[in-house]
Amino acid sequence: MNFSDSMKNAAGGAVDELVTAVGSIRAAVVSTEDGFELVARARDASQVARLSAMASSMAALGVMAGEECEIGGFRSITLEAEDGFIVMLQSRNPASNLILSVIADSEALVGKVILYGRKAATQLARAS
Amino acid sequence: MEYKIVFAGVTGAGKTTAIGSVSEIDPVRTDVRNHDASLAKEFTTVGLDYGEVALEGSDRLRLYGTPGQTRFEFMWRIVSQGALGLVLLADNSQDGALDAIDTYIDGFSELIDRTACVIGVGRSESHSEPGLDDYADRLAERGVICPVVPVDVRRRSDVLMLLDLLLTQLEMKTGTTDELF
Repeated sequence: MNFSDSMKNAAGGAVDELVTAVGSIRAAVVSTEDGFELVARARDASQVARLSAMASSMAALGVMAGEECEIGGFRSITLEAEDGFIVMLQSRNPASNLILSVIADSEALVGKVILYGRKAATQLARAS
Repeated sequence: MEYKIVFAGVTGAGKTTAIGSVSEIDPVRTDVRNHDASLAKEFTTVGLDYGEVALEGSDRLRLYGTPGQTRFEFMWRIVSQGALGLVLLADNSQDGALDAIDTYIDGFSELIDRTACVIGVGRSESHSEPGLDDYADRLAERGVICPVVPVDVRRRSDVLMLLDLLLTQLEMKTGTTDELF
């Protein structure tokens, strides 16, 4: 997996902006579509590798679900849990399709996570 | 009646190909571009594969393929739920093919203990070692007794043979399945 330092820096900047703007975020991870971490900001770093792999699987299943249901390409998944939620967003960078995964506490506003998540995904798509 | 069968094994062994060889529906695939330089393949499965094979009457097999990489081990547990048996594919052309079997024997131990298993060894015509007996011995060391056969997963007949062997194993173990093909 070869990504330039400038791309990693750009991705890191996009994630930092997201984390600062939203708050109550446990982890924000940018992964390749086959489940490798590009950049991560996480309270628990041990989560990052597994989260990257899970994001890869869930996004791939999301793509297939979208196709099977004839509702178009995958954009995002929102998973609500008892103590928080996860938002996964697709970012189509020319070098690789990327997945931005955000794990937030239940105090966070899901709409705000999606809004700033989409903004970060757009930045990621342009990163080079 | 519907029977759920899981395909597992090392990346590149041909799980996606095997399901595609026998499925009577367009297989569901979750292949994405591979970024792992250690794997000589352009695409890799990250979620699951899905295909179906019709049996006698209204019965059918539902075939689920799993990602080979251990970082997707969570998918192994998810896909194993409710499964009837395991088709484990080996790739003799890869270094450490025999040792790789251990990873999947461990990862699918609950499914193997509960149901039945069959091992298909691919590319054994071009790579004769390890031999089928080596696989059988390794499995026996792990307390797993199951058929080990050479396969070319591109051939529908070979994959159907694996499924037939698996169901025969299951019938011997539980006495619950009749002749299905």
